Amino acid sequence: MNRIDHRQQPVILGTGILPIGQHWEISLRQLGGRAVRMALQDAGNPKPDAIYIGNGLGTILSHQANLGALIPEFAGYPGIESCTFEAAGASGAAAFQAACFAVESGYVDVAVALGVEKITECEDRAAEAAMNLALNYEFESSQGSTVKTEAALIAQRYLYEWHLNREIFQRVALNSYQNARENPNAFARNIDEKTYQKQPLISAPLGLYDIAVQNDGAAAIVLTREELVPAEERDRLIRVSGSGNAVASLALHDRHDLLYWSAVAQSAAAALRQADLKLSDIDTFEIWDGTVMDVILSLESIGICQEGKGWQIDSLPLNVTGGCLGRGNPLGASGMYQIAEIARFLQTQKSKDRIHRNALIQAIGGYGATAITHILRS
Amino acid sequence: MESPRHWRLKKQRYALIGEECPHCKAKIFPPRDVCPECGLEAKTAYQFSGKGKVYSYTTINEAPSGFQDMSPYAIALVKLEEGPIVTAQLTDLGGESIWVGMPVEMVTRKLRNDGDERGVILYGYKFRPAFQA
Repeated sequence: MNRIDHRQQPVILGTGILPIGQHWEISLRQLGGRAVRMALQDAGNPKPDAIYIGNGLGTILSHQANLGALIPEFAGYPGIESCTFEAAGASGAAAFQAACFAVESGYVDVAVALGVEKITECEDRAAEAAMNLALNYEFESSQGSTVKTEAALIAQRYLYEWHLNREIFQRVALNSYQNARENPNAFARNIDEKTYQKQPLISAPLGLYDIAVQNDGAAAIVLTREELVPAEERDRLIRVSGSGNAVASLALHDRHDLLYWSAVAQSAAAALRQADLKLSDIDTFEIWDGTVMDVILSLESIGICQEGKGWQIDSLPLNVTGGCLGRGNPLGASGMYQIAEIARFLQTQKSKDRIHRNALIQAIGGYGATAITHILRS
Repeated sequence: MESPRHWRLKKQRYALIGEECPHCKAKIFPPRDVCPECGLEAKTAYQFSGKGKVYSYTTINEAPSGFQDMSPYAIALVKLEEGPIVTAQLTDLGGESIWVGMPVEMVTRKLRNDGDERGVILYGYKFRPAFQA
């Protein structure tokens, strides 16, 4: 889809971000409700017309379906339009995309996109089992495979094909952990080279710190379209100038090339095309890092790095607020954290030197199965 | 224990029965309604030989529920002789180390239990090292 009129373009009015961690004192509904209120307050309290919710695991871990009829009430807006979007790790990005469509089309004037996930409510094994719902149940998880082993299988094959060893993961992982240090809402801020090198292997060749830790979290973004913002305020806006959503086979074994993520490539290309930008115009990349291997394959598949070299990230402005590894991974909320944090980053940059103006943000659901990309411009 | 599901999948799990596309002759596993290669209707049953090679592998130390008794165990992507790749456990390794390209063959083994609910056991395919002639 090509954008016809810039006045229709979705713009970000405000963001609300809760710290990622173990929020044992509040439930899924309060997490979500609080993030929505924070975002609306940040936006100057416009009246929302709809709340689109990204959530991956609430039906199983909180035993709660139909969040659309629950969370608006806890945000103080009972009765407004709301429903859930589910695409595993890309759920937050899917809800954001829905909110963009709603404001851009004129269907509503102000939409809130919320990503919310409550994972630490139950024991680790139940949380793991819930995460594994993102696999192909009949032919992957029924064999005893898990999300982590899928990543390890790909990582092993990658190292084999390119004659590399697991040391290549360190640079990618530490980039996220180091960037998370400046992020007050991140969970894992204290992992340095020494800690990283002492990690136990979880599923060889991947170690404990190569995989993002599951956590609770909620983030929300208020959107409207540009024409509704007074002209004198438009200069400070962060615009959503492109989005793309693509899928590949759910099961790894059903894909033609296991080391090329077609959904990742297609969704990034579609978003760039819509924004009328080239890859070389992008100066901040927020790439999904549920595991280090995700980053490597995404960088290669999008075309940011050459094949076999996705781990050579030295000068790349990548996951500047910590990514899923550094931030922690509240699955269905992570896609919203990515966008909300990068929107804030662009805003800060704008007030400084305007070096970073265009950001490409991509969330992945399943293991490279669903990819949703957004382009933000300041 | 989801009886209809396991009953429905028994041909695949016990005998590695997939499909051969009547239009483009692609070998398909698991079977489906539409051929992933040519997009036309797929419906002709085809029994795979069960022979293949390890495409990639890893070991799982923290097993998901229903699989804890077997932990740790090896999971592999096995590339079948006929083309498709399947996800499966490796078994009967007897201390043998796994390598990419290792020849393996399908065997039927216990996949999981039902978490001690009724003692029902689910069987299905795993792969073991194949002796080379």
